[in-house]
Parts: sequence; C-alpha cells; structure tokens
Amino acid sequence: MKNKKPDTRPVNLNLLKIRQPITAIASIGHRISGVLLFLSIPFVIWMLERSLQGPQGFADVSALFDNSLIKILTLLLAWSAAHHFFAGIRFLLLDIEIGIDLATARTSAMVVNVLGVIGVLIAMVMIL
Amino acid sequence: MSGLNAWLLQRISAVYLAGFLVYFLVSLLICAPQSYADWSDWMSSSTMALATTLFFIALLSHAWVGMRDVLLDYVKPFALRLTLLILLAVGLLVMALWVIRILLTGAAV
Repeated sequence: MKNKKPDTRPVNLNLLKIRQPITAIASIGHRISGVLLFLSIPFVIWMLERSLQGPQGFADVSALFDNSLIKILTLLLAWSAAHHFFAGIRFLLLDIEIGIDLATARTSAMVVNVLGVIGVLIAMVMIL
Repeated sequence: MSGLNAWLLQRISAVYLAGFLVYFLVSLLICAPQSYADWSDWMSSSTMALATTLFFIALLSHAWVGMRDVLLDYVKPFALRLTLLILLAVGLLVMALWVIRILLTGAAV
C-alpha cells in the first residue's frame, strides 16, 4: 500500500525533544538494565570465585568496594537490578492481565521508574 | 529454544531470580558475612549450594532469552546477527562451566 503522493508529514526524530510515554521509559529501562546486568555476570562470577578461594580472596573482593570507580559501577548495577526487578514484576502481572488498562499501566510504570531510583538511593546510603 | 518455550523459560526463571534476589539481600541485611569463614560456611551449606546452583541455571537461561531478544530486535544484518548469537551462546556456556567449577570446588572444601 504505497502512497504515490510525497510524504509531507513533519518528521521529528530529535531524541532530545521526543517525549516518550512513561510506559515506554519503563520498558526501555527494562531492556537497558537487562543488558547491563548481563554484562556484569562475568564480574559477579569472578567475585564469587575469588571470595571463596580463601581469606585473602575474600579480603581482596571486600577491598574492591573501597574503589570509587567500583562504587559508581555498583550504583549503576543497583539501579539495573532494582529497575529490572520491579519492571519485571510489572510485566509478569501484565502477562496475567493484572493492571492492563491504560491508567493503571501508566501509574505502575511511574511506580516502577521511581522504585528503580529509590533502589540507587538505598545503595548509595549503604556503600558511600 | 524459541517461541512459547523461550517465553515460558524467561518467566519461570524470572520468578526464581526475583525470589532468590530477595532472599539473598534480606540475608545480607540481617547478618552480612563479616569473614571468609562466615561467607564460605554460608555458601557451602546444602541449602545455599542448591539455591545458588539453581540461581545460575535461571540467570544464564534468562540472559540467553533476554539477550537473544535484544539481538534479534536491533541487529538486522544476518551475518552479524548470527555471529553475535553464536558468541552469546558460547559466552553463556563458558560462564556456566566456570560456575560449575566454582560450585564443585566449593562443595568439596
């Protein structure tokens, strides 16, 4: 179904100007946090291995968290884990048709986005 | 693994991962292991050894479905898509073998 007329509709793909719906932000956040969590897996496995190798290994892994860069990465992972956890529960509920009307879906998306940020704040208090 | 099976695997693993995460964080909040001995004892207890094994099975399966979906959505050129999917599968298998080695060593100690 190709329209012969030239398409004169305005195109605005400026990512800084497009306002995505709150549900889309929760959704893309779920993807981005998922990829970040995936990338963290080898480091988590490495820490598990090192921390179980003996008292020295355990001390080495504990000492890692004194490093500022590691602290920042930990906060990024705390957001990822919190957002992925809550957005994931929201998707599971949507799967079983809980909260699928638009108003509720928007509210729950907002709640999920806020809980992700609260997760980082809690992590900040704990590690900084 | 595709279609309904992948969808179901993603959801079942998600439920386990969520449960394990809550259990793990709450345990750390109540009584964080302060020494290697505490940590090692806790991780090698039979409950935790089983729970951790299931955690990594769920985590790596969940990562496979999720990352596969992301690659299929965003990587269009067929050769690149196939290459990345193969790298993903190999990477996850290597991680699985690595975890198995850690958990078997831990159990033996």
